[in-house]
Amino acid sequence: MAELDSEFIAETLSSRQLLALLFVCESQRKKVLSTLNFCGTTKPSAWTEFVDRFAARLNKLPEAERIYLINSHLQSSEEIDIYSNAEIEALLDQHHVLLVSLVHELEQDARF
Amino acid sequence: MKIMFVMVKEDYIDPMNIELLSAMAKQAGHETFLNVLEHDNLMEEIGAIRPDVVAYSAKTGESNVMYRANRAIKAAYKDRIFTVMGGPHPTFNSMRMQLYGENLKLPLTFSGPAMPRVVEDTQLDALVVGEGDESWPAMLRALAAGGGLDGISNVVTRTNRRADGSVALQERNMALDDLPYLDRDVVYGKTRLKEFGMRSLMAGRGCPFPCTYCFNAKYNAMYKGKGKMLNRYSVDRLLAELEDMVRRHPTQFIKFYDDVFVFRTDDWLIEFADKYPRAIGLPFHCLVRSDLVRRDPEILTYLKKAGIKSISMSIESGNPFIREQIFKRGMDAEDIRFAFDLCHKQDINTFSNTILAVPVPVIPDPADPAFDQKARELCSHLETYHRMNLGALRADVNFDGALDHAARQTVVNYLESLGLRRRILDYDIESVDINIQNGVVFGEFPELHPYPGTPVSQYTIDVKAFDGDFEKLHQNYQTESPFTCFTPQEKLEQVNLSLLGLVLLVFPSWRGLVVNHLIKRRWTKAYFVMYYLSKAYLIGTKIYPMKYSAGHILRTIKESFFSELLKHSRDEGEKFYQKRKGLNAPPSEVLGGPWQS
Repeated sequence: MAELDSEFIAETLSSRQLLALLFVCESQRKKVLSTLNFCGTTKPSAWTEFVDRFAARLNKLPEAERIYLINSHLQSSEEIDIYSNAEIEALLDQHHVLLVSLVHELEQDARF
Repeated sequence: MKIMFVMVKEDYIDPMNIELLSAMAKQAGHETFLNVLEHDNLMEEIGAIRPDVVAYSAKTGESNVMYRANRAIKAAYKDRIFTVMGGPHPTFNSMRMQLYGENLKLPLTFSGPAMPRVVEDTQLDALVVGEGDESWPAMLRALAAGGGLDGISNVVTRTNRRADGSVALQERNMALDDLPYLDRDVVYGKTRLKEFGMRSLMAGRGCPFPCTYCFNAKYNAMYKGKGKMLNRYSVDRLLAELEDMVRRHPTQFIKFYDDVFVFRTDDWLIEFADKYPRAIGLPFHCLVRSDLVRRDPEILTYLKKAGIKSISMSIESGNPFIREQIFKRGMDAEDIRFAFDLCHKQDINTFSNTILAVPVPVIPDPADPAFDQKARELCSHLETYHRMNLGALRADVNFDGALDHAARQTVVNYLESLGLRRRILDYDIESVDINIQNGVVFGEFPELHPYPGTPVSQYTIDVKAFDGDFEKLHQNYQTESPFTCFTPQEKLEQVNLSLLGLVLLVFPSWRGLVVNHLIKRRWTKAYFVMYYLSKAYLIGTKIYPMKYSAGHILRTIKESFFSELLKHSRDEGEKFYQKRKGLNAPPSEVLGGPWQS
């Protein structure tokens, strides 16, 4: 596996943060991000389906391998250059509030 | 300058590496030639052409043959011919490949039981690491001007070699549209590919997934921060090259050979699906991943619209422990089921690769007096090496004392739930079963071979199944397993299952007969014939269907049969090959192929 260092912002993020970022990128690409409502007690089905799908793939993997796999999806399906700090920083700034909320959701989920 | 490319043997896939480098060389005003060691006399052609540069692109397993060829060239021509090797083998082994006139010492960072040895006497002048086409034009300019290559990125020479083994790499090429069209003429003039109706091309470069049997994980680490990992041609540029290819070479079928052709439904795929049928209109094959199809099923809708005939989606293992913990595939059985089912609903024929003979722990027999000790060691291995959380098992079972029957059964059940099995062959049978259950139309079942630069190779070294000597590997992964952890009987059954697995996709009702009886017999030659017939039928009618004259079909059957024979039986293949070509002379006199090492 790739050796980690702190040169790149993406490599300082946890698997939960990256998974939340992946969801945001996917929703943005599908042009549904603005329609999702995370304020109520019932979470959007797009989010629960996304989490279920990745739980099956990730829950037996250690943290480093979870990060690698999520990064693979970010780089391919979402065409994010994870080694471009400017690109990652812009995404984190733009969706800061939502990302914090999604990471909190993942922290409450025993599968992650 | 005159540049001669050397390849070991022909295949049915275009050698796109040679075709691209040749196109770039011609673009710069050089002449290019090809020698195929399998059937061409290398020294005779070298003598007639007198090339300035001889270039090899080596995969592990064929590098030894190329070293031998190169030593013969250097013995005869010394500095009058510059020789260079690129490709995956030098990319991951450059630090231990001794160059012409060099006294190589390995970097001190190497240590441990799998310490690699220096590959002596390659007699090469230079190695190219990573994407060779990125340094190729600069290399040719320097050589034509009589200058050195020491300042060129990606290139290793005896004078610019770094003590730590690292190599300065250029940024990734992200402007693929600027590359010339592949020079297929240099290959078609010397090979049967000219008559073959299927042409190969890649729409892009790069794969970000961490599959441990693939070089991409280490490759991507090498290129970290050097540009976007995924790059592809624009649709218009891709179709323009295909149109040119179809106009100049008879073509019935196109194989897109990208590791992953599409990752999602995006503007590129929508444009491709719209324009390809009108511009090219030929059936095609490409590779995708099951998890990506499940995540974005519309991928198949657009590929179908474009005219896809067949698709590759590798399963790699039917066993969840191997798939998740050893291969790191990042997909589950439901991803696989969903994607294959959707393909079949859309009338897309499926092709899958599944790797057998993986060194993997087995669950000890509960009746074994040494069960307790073996179970403790296995659990410790899972926790320390695979970093698996066995807290639930440890809460139920106290490993400090002797385990009674019930405790042993609890351990066995728990380990089975993780995907571990009691016999090594059970893993392989499970892998064949998942292919049958998902209705895979055509499948290959190669045995795992460790290649340098892949994490799974390090795993096989760590578990003491492999000694780390990559130079002794055969160039094909469909021969007997190189791992020391398997018994001769297990190796026999693995080879037999790798052949009969495909037969079971044609006759799934034979499953019980095959796994319970046939794989145990020493009837491998008969199984090879069954394998060949199944493969010829499925490839010819379902995966790459094309129309040929009766004469061409007979010729293709004959050639492909011998090609498959060589892949599956090293000794028999060598004898047959030498008899057929009259190549019984010592290797120093006839550089006739990869089987005379």
